[in-house]
Amino acid sequence: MSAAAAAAADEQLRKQLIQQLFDETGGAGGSGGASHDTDGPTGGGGKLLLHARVSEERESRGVKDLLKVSFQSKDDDDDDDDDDKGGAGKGKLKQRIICLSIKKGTKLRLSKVKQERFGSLSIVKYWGLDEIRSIENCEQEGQVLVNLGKIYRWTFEDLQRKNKFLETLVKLCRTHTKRMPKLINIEEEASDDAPKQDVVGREATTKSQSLAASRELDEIEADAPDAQDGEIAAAMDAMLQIDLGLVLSDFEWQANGDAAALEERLLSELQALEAANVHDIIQSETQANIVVNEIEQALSELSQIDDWLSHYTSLLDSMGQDVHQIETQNKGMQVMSTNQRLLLSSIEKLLGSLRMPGYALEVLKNEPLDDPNGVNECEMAITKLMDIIQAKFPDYGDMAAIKERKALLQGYANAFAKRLCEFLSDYFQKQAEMYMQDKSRASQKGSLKLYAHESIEQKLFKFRNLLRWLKDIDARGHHELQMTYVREIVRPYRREIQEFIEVLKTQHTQRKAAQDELDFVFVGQGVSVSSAASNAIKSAIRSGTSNLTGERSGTLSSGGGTSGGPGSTGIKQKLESWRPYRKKTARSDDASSIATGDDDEGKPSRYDLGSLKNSSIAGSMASMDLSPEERMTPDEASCVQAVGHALLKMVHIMVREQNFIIDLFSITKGVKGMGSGSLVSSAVEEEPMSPSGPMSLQSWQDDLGRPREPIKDPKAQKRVQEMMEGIFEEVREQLLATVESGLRHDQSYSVGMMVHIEFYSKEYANTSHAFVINLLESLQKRASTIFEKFVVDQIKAIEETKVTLRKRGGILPFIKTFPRFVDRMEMMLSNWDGVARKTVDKAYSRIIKSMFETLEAVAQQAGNDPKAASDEKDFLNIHILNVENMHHFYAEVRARKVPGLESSVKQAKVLYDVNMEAYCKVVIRKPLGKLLEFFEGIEGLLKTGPAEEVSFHIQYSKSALKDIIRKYPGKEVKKSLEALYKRVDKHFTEEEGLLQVVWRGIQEEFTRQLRRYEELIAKCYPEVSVRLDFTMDELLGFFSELARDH
Amino acid sequence: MGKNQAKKTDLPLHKIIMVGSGGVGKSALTLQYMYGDFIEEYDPTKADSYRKKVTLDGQESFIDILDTAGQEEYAAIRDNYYRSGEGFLCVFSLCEQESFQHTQEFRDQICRVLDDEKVPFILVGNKADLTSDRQVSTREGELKAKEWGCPYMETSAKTRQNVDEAFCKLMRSIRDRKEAKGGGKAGASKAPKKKSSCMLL
Repeated sequence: MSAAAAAAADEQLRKQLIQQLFDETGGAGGSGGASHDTDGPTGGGGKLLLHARVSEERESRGVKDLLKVSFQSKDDDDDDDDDDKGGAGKGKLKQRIICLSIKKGTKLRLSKVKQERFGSLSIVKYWGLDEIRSIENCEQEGQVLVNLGKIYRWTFEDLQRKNKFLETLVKLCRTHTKRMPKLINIEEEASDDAPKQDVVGREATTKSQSLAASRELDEIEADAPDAQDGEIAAAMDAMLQIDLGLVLSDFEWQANGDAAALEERLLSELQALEAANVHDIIQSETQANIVVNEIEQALSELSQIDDWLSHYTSLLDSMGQDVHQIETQNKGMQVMSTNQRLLLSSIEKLLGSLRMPGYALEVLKNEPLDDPNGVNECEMAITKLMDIIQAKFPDYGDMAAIKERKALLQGYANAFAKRLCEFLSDYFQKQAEMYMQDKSRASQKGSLKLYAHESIEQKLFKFRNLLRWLKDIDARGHHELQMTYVREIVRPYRREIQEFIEVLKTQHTQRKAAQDELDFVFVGQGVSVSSAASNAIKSAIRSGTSNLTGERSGTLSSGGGTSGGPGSTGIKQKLESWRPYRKKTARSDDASSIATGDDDEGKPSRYDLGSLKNSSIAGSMASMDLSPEERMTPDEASCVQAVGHALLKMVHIMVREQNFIIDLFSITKGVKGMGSGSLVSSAVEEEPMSPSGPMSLQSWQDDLGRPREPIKDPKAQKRVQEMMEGIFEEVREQLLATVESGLRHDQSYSVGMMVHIEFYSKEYANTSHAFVINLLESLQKRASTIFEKFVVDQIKAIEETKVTLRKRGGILPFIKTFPRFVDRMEMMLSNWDGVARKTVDKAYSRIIKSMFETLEAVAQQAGNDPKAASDEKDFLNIHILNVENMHHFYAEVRARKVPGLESSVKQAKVLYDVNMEAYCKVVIRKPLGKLLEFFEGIEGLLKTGPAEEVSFHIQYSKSALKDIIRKYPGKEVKKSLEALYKRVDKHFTEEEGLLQVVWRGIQEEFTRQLRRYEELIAKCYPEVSVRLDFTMDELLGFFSELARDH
Repeated sequence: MGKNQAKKTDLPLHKIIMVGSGGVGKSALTLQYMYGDFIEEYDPTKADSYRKKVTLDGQESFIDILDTAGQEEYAAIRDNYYRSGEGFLCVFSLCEQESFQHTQEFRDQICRVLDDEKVPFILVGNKADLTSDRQVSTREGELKAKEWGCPYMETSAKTRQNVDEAFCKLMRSIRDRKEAKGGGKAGASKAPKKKSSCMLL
């Protein structure tokens, strides 16, 4: 079969199909069974989109039949498989034609057409597109499984057609169904054939666009691709506009039918409709009424509910208000209860701080104050009391009850203060009385003891806190107590110090014995000096004259004898035991000092006082490492020490007493207005190191002896001064007097005193101990005065030597004394470099001046002495005196190396040299006599005239020269030299050993003279061959001979 | 005062004479010994006498030192004081050979004047501190001393080296000689011999 023939056959089939489809559309739509052979004109209002021959197989069982789809397949007489499902046609292939068509006004359809035996076609069945449930493209070529409620297997003869069918169907389903059928195995294929699908789609739309253009469009496939899709809708609209015909046909109206019948039918239908309408309306009214009633009922119920609600709301409102009110009230009550609690605690606190235990008040009233526990109890009680009284109640301070309470307590406090005052006043008296009664405190005869008041300190120590309190609470009572204390304590002090001073005096009296040590004073034998000191010395010298030639050490014991009495102190021993003031020095010479000490101190109080002394002495020694005594020999030391230590003791006692007073009465503690806090705490805060703080008695007492910082508060300072004066003023005068009388025997001690005083002054300078400083100043003044007097006396003694000197040769006594004086002074100073040093240096220069003047005067006297002058008219004595004395002074003083004396040493050296030279010149006049005069005359002439003229003078003529030379032959000269040597030997004492020095000077002078004479002879008498009778060599020979002879 | 005179005369007195050329340090040695001073400046001495109490081997005695002029115009003038000397401290400067040579003259004169070769004599080389200026060796000094039969010492007046030793040695030999003679001037001194070192007061 050719392609053209096939196409033509296909075209034929297509025409038939169109006719069949669109003619019997209505019948087919109406009932399935009716078949109308209507050959209506083609294009009666639809379009065949596609058709294809298939062989159909009902897919009901698993039987697999290969179906051959072909246009000329053998006929199947199984005509209707749709109706007859369970027919025998199962498994058989039926030849069918599947069409896709669109009809005006309707939807797209899928139709199955059966070709009858005679070529006529009949629609077996049709489906809406929506009925397609699934489309499956089978793997077998040409087969498609379509589920249309039942599953049909269609095998296409033509593959191309099958594809076209599938594409078109899928496309239509996509665009025109609500529910897309399930596609199985199609998507890929569709996408593979995408261009074809497009073509199909276009073809389909194009065909549905218009009836008229459908065929042409059908054939034109590839062209006009664009702008066709939108036209499908337009085609549909166009079909709806011409829908009336279809409507009519729905009413089975035929144009050739009866209009009237139609009208009637229409009217009846209208009526029926209206009736139904009215019926409906009537029917619905009752229901509406019911509804309305219901609604009304509902409304009334609602309003009822509403009423309830508003009622509840108002109830709730009022309840809310109540709650709020309750809350407010609750809060108020809470505040109130808190306040009350606070009030309660405040009141409790107040009461607590105002509570004063009864036993405490009882303690204050009755506790005995003379035992430490009682004092402690009282302290605690009073602290408590004061805490309450002074407690600050910032908010309720004005409260009457509090004030009242405080006043009451204040009353207790005052009462206690009064009791304390009375007690202490009495107590002071008792203590003082006890000291007075205590025999052990009475000073032993000859022992220098001065006790501090340790036991009083100890006893009063415990009251210091109460006294401090008293100071705050009752200043006047406090002050009165101070006065009482002073009044009482002064009694034992007075007695003790008096005794002490008495002992001191005795010791100094004993010191008188050691007159031999006074060899440093410038007093000559038989001198009568008016001053007391000199008198004492004088008498001593007189009594000791017999011993003066003895050994120095020997005189010590003999000196002891002079003071008389078998019980007198052995000085040596006293000096050995270095601290004579401590122990009464021996009654028995050989008693060991320790044994003696024990003897003397073997009293009831020994233990107590012994420890005190040890401590105080140790303290004093520790503070005095520079003290002068240590450098001195024991005997010297003892003298200075006695005074110095007495002073130290006194000073120590005063310092201690002052510190004690200050601490006991808290004088330096500032009074803080209206009373300051409690006892202990205030003490601590003011002065943490203060002894009145929580300090042990021991450490406090240890500290008492130490000097303290100056008191800043002038009032307190004045108060302390007042008390100190009260206690010690009397003593002070006594001490001053004692010092003076003590020094009377050896005023050189005044230097030692000055050193001591200076030492202490420095130590106590810038301390609070104004009284001591003042005392030291007075003593200093006194000592200076005494020293001044001493120096004046010395000078007087030196000057009096002029008158009293018997022997007018040799070393003068005061020159001999001076080095010892220097020694004495230096010993007293012991390298002290203070005011005392300056004072002594001044004294040196005054004394030296006096000495040199006196020496000069004595020399003059010696020169003028008629006895001496007969022989020594050339005042040789003056030179001898000067030479020897200056030599002595120079040698001795220089050896002492006192810086202040250096200039005097030089001065002495100059005087020595000058006088030595002068002596030599003068002394040779005698042996040379006229010879010397002659040549001196010539020299005198030479001053006025020329040498040549000398011989023209009668006295100096050549013959005169010869005469004079003749008078001095060598022998004579030699003899006179010998005589001269003897004279010179007599002139100078062996003591100074100056003979050789002087003789050497004389020899030198001699040779000088001789040389000069020879020169003068040669000069003045050149033409004369006159010479001296002896030559220089001869003269030297004389010297040598002289030397051999002696 | 008689007392002091008595005291002094009771004690033995040893008279020493310082001899030697000018500027060798006789006065310096003397002053150092006497006062512990050292004076740099040179002031030629004519003659000076010094006396001092010393303790020699535990016995107190006086030393009398006559410090003489080194540059005496006429040697004969020395005769007299040589006569008064009991011992001689002959000083030369270790820094000056000439002064060492001169010691021979002094020695000779002393021996001549005293007519005594055994007089207590000590040769002293002074200025030992100036080591760099030294001109006389210790050996030379020792040889000379050996020749004279006397001790030799080197001293420094500046540093006080051997100063006390020299004086003490001389004093000791004076004392020994006096004791050997058994009387003479210092008859009073009967102190036991002690060889402990000397002490200065």
